[in-house]
Amino acid sequence: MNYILIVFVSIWTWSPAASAAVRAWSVGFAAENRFERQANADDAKVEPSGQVYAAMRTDGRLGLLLETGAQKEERSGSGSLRVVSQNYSLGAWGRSFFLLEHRLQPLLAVGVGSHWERVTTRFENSDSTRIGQRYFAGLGAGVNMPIGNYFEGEVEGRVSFLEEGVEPQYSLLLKLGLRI
Amino acid sequence: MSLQRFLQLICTSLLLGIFCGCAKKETQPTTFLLPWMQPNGTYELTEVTLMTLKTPHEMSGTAAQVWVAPQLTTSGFGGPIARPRLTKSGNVYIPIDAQSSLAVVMYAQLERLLLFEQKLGTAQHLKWPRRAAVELPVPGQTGSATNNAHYFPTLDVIGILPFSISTGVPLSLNHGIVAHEHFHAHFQAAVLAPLQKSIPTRNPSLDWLLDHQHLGTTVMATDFIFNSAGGMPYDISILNEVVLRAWNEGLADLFASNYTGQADFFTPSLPEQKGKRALTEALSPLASAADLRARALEVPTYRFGELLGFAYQQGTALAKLLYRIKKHEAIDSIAFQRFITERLRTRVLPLAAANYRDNIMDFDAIVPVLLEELQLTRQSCDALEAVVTKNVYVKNFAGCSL
Repeated sequence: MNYILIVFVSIWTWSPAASAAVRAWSVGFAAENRFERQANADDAKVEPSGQVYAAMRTDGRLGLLLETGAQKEERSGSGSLRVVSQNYSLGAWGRSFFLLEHRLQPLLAVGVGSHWERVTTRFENSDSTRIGQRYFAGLGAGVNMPIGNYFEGEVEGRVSFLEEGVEPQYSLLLKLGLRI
Repeated sequence: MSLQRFLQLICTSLLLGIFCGCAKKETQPTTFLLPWMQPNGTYELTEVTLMTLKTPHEMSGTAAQVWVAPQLTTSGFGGPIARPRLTKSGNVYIPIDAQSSLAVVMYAQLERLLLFEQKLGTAQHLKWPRRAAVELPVPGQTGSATNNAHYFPTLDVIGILPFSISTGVPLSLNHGIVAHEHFHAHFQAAVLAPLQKSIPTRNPSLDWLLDHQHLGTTVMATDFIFNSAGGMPYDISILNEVVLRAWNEGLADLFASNYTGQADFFTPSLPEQKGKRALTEALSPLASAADLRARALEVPTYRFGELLGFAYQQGTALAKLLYRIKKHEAIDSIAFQRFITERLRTRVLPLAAANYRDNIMDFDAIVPVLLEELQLTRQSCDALEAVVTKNVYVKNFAGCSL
């Protein structure tokens, strides 16, 4: 899977579109609300996470976005069982923009990446901290718009498929970036 | 096709490949990090390997189906089977929240119980996969009920209620308590269900009453068939239900002890039970039918629960006696449990059927039908003498008088 991620990023980086003159770079923050289904799949919780990203756009309609984020620590327990987990993620997304002549530009995205979960479990007199990893691949759709001369805002909805996952994961991102 | 378009096609294909990979089925066995009972009866985090799950992401396999906080329905549990939230560290799956951990442990326990039953040769007496729920919401007298576990006989499911104590082993992680509830399915299949068939008027039964209370049906104890002859507020069959409940509870404690190897499996979860249900505590006598009748005369029907409490006490007395005899006779736990389970249908059912409608049974009436074939040591005879009535002792255990 690591190789897939590298290949994916490389293809976009070395593609004729990407090798054309880069029109713009931007860096920024994103707030992601991920809809996490619970062990009873009828229940879902919204788990917020903060991200930082760096994005580039070419002269054409294509772009690449790299992002990393950390989710809020999640605590649960029953009796002496205590579970504390926190999710970290790294993703690379290829993006295609439309209606380039408009101020509001719709975008579609495909991406791959990885989630790391740090899970600390305590039970009676024992405890354990493990770091697990799950890869994901996802699709996204959203709208990008400039804010003044130096900033940009973006709203994006995503559906991600986790490695071995039994159902897709949905999230909504709000991004605020600085164009450099 | 332009080179750019070609490269985009490759990217899309790569993603599709990943999605297809996501859908692959897990191979067995599967290892989880779980809160788990150790051979010495203590609990700690342990890597546990399961053999019967179709996938680690859904608690459904040949051993069990597990739900988390489902609705109790007239056919069992409503809603989807539990899908634990997991991450993978090396080849070990780690539950990332407590509910997920409870669900996987419940499946794991039922898989171990299946193996135990296969050793006993009694697995075929029950329907598999077993169905169980953790964190089952059940209405209580004030709000939701907690810190309890039930076997619902008419549904043939186990429900473990939420655990509200901030320390100790949650009930759904307690191997003894799950095994105790599991055993009730044997008593139901071997004794109560056939009794229901052989005596069709056994309705509404105590089982029906308890299940429907949990289903939210407004059922009062007065819905029983009460024959008030002679000032007795209860029908004979109702008092025999109390006796059967005592046997059911006592034999469930014994089964859990044989399965876990522990004489006191309640205390890790319910410290207030310490000294009450430990099978190593001092023996106490089993009550006679006359004792039960006298007690029933003092308990009006709206306080029927007090008679059930009496049944639990009698059950513990029976379990302590059988545990003591197993120890004195140095019988292997599996052999002893097989011996007891086999006698449910062949000995206990005929005893109950013969007396159910017309004679209140003594609580110790089950002792001879379970043990009469054993050649008992002096220590076992002494234990029997302390627990059963003199009449039963002299009549059924002649070897002890020699």
